[in-house]
Amino acid sequence: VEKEKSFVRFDLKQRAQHWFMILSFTLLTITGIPMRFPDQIWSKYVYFLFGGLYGARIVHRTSALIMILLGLYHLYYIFSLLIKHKFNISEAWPMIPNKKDARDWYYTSLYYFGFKKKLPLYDRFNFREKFDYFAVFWGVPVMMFSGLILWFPIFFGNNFPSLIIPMAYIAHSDEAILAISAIVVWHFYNVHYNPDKFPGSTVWIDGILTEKQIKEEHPLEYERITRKKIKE
Amino acid sequence: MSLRYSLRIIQKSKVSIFIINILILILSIEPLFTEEDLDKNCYKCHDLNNLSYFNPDLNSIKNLTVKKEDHKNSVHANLNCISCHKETSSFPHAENRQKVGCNQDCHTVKEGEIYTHEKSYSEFSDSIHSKGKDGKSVDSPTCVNCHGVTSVHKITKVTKKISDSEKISQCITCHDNKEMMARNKVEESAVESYKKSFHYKAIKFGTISSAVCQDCHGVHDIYSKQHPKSRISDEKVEDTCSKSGCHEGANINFAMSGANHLNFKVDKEPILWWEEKMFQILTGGTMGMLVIGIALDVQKKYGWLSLLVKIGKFLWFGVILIANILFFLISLLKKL
Repeated sequence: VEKEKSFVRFDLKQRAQHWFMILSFTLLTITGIPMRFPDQIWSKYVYFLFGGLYGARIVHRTSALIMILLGLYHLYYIFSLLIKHKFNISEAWPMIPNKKDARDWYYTSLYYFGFKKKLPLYDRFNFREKFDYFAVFWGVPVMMFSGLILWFPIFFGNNFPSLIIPMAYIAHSDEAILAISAIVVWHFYNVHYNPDKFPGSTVWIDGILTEKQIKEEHPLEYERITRKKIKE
Repeated sequence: MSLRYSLRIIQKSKVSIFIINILILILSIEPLFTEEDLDKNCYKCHDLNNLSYFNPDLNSIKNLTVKKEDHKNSVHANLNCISCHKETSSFPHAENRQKVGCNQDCHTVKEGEIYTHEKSYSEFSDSIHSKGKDGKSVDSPTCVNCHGVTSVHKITKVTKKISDSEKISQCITCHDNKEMMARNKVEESAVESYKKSFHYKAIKFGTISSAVCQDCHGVHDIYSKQHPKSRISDEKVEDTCSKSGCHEGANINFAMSGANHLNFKVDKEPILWWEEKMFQILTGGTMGMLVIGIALDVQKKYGWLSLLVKIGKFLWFGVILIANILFFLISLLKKL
């Protein structure tokens, strides 16, 4: 039997970023959620596991630092990509939404409601994946700035308009709920609960897609890669 | 027989000195009028169950029973009835007597001074709790409301410092009663908003260094925010936050942030109201969209019905598997 061809979807740098994201996001969620629901019985047991409020605080801030550093590394990473691709934005940043994504979203909706027979052909990143990416791109700075304000309330409270602390409170708490529910409901459906992937996709570990998977999920990318190979 | 003459006889007679010594001994062992005896007469009547008095002016009945045991076990056990209830030594008791108040001298000497609650009492009678927002109201608390007793005679000894949550509950008893607060034109969501603050959450999770109501608002000396003596007045709030050792170096800008009672601030500041609304719409909209997306995806790819049947079969398989394993283990145990 001929061995199935495999395609690298994510290289080590990209996978490592996701690993650190999983680590920091999980710890931040576990140590943060009880703050939102202090009257629930389970809340205090969660903090008990971290050695009380102060233990949980140390874990929360350490993982926050990991996430902030990760965000900064990601900025460095995408700009180094830009330089590598000689400032050709569409080539360096395939994540940027374009007209095709709007069209794909529309056709996908038509497909779901039965007006179209087939799904549109997706490229390397489809509109869902772009949504996920920009959700994090919006969420991390919001959580970072509001979190830093709550971490150093006296500095920010003394030197900025006094509304900044209540604003940070609301932003940190509400954005956290949005991010956690989006991850648990949407992202987990796409990579875990989904019967095609259950109990989970492995691309985040080895970064490799099989030929069948890439043909199904990213046909345009597959086409581009094979055409390139034929040329060579 | 004059006193001097009798004394002279006593001095001369050794026998009489002996008798006097005996007398002194007897007196010192069992004084004629013991402390308890002073209360004995009171309890002749007041120890009776359901001893009551009908007040024709108020058309109400007042229970006058005082249980001896309650008073004996209370913090005031070493005081007699008449040390608080003045002018009651005669019967019938004098009319228009001085009312019993916690500001009276207690006839107990502590550190060389007569012990009294006068300081707390005068602080309290100047406070908004005593004076009321516009005049004293029926709901205004008195000493016993916060000091946690149903009867003054039962005030027990405080053996330990009261905990933070006990301190909070002193205030919550009334301030979480929205009806009572509305009746007296007091902020209704004070407790609710405090419970959303980090101050409360930290205490809930077992910290002892976080702020409770009394830490910022005062204890007996609570005033309205506009009052210059108030700890949260515009002039003093900075000190309240910074000099308590909690937020060292905080200035007025920090103190006015109002993050400790967020609800008030959200109602007053349109920016915060819009921020909250924005997040609600964003969260509701995004999650709604995503859930619809998932629902449609499942329907198109697998069909909800067939998927649920599949999951059901899977779970049923799991149940059978676990049942088999249990059965196997039980049979193994039986053999052993």
